[in-house]
Amino acid sequence: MSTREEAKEGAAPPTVAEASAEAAGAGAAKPGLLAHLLGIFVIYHLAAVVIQAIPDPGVGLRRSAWREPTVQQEFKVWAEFFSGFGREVTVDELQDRLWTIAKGFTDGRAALAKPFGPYAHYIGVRQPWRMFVAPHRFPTALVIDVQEGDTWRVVYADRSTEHTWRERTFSHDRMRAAIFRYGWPGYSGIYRDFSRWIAGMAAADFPEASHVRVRMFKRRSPTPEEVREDRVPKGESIYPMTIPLEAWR
Amino acid sequence: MRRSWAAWLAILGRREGGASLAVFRIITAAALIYNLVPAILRGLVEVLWVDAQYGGGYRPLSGAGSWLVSLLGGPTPAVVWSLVGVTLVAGVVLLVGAGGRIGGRLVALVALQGMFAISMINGDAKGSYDALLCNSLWLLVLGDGTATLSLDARRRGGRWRSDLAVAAWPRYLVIAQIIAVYASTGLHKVSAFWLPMGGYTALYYILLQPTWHRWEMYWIAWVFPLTQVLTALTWIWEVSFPLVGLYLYLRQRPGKGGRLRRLITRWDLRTPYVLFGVSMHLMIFLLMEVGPFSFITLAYYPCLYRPEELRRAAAWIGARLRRLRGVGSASSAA
Repeated sequence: MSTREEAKEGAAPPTVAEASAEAAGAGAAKPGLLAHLLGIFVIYHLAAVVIQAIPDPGVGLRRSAWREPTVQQEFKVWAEFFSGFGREVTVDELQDRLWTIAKGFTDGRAALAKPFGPYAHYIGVRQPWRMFVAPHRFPTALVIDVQEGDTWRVVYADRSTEHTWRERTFSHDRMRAAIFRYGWPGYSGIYRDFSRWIAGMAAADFPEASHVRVRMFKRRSPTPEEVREDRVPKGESIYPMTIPLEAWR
Repeated sequence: MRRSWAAWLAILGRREGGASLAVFRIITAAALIYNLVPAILRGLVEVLWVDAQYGGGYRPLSGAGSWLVSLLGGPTPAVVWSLVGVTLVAGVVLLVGAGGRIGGRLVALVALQGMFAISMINGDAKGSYDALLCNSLWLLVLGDGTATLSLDARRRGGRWRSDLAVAAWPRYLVIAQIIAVYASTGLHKVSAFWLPMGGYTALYYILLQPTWHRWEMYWIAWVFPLTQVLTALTWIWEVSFPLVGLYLYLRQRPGKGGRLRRLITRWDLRTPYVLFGVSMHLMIFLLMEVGPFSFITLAYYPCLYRPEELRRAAAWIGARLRRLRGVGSASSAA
């Protein structure tokens, strides 16, 4: 039955004025079973949202990620801060303590969130609000080179206006999110697959090229003083993958 | 206990106009479309979401995705394209607000399950905006977002607007959701660089990250103190956002209670929080490429206001615009 038909037959929901009048005269009406079930459901929903939104340190709980210079710099600043209270706290000591606390916290959080697992799994009510938790002080940028004859040339570099091969693909925000992750340790397998996929495209687009090289350019972000004095750090290439293109021809 | 439960059920029994939820529906649907169309236009659907073994993507994705993808047989090109197509159509239907009270909710459910399924296929290429969008769509399943400003309203009464009352509790859940988002993201920011010990340098360094910025941002070194102030304000704004919820709860009984209640309800806390939030999201949109997150977040703001407040605001803006137009035509006539 269409809503219009419902309205004709008087089955349509009340207007705001009718609902207000109804509410004013319904002080003694007893709520039905549905109202009680709704009450329980809304409490369950709110609990699911709040408990799942509790920060989850488990996501970044990897020793390999903690060894990254960006993370080490965080520990250094915090260790200096805690040392300011009278007892020296070393970076190693801080890391060990934090590891234990974070593991305990993660386990406790997981136990609390367990009753809401099916709600998240089947309905999609997830609360992953881990956004910009820390600035990446040593960010990486994707760079792709091809070898033509004896010469290597850059064909793509993140945010470059000069090296823009397949820029529409690599600059989409989802692809950027993936590339951001591949600059961290722990993604070597996927990074290899990613590089081979790039090789397939390079073989098609650069018929003269014999090899493609995929790498991450890693550089410490300059301080404001360094930028103003034109002393931007040099940086280095990490995770280079050189792939012959014969297989795709 | 019994009285508290009765009070709780009374809150859930409240009804109000549907404008706030309708605006929420429209912006959410537009954000859903915006979330998918660029990926389609850039030829990324198969790259991102089809398992490499089927010749589409760049990585193996067998066993990935939501329960729906598993049920449909995994991320094959046919499954992924069907999900994208159905979700997009559901997004358009949601945007125009068709389907009636039940059908409109079913459309939101289809959009939700489609978007959820797609976004869970490739975990490396998903963002928090996917989760926020799914939460928004679930809230549109729970609430009647098509009562007004919709094709349904037009078919029913010949006007786009309608006075039909809807349950108020879904709007309260929208408010709870946005409070959870901001408070949680603020509490996640445990980096020293968001705090005094790191010199409030977080925003400065985040804006230099090549992954997120729209263009090279070294120029911000010359406005570094401003980035420090904004770092501090952003963190405080996020972790204190639950105050908006507290204000909305306490103001229901103005004049009652103690000093704290009077203090919190003295000014409309929503105004400064909304102004800062809108400015922050606009700035993020201008300077960074982080997908449709800002867009989706802004859908939540109208629900901080009761429908009659939104109507008053719309009337006020309309009157100002008419007056401006009147001044403009008078000066051109002169």
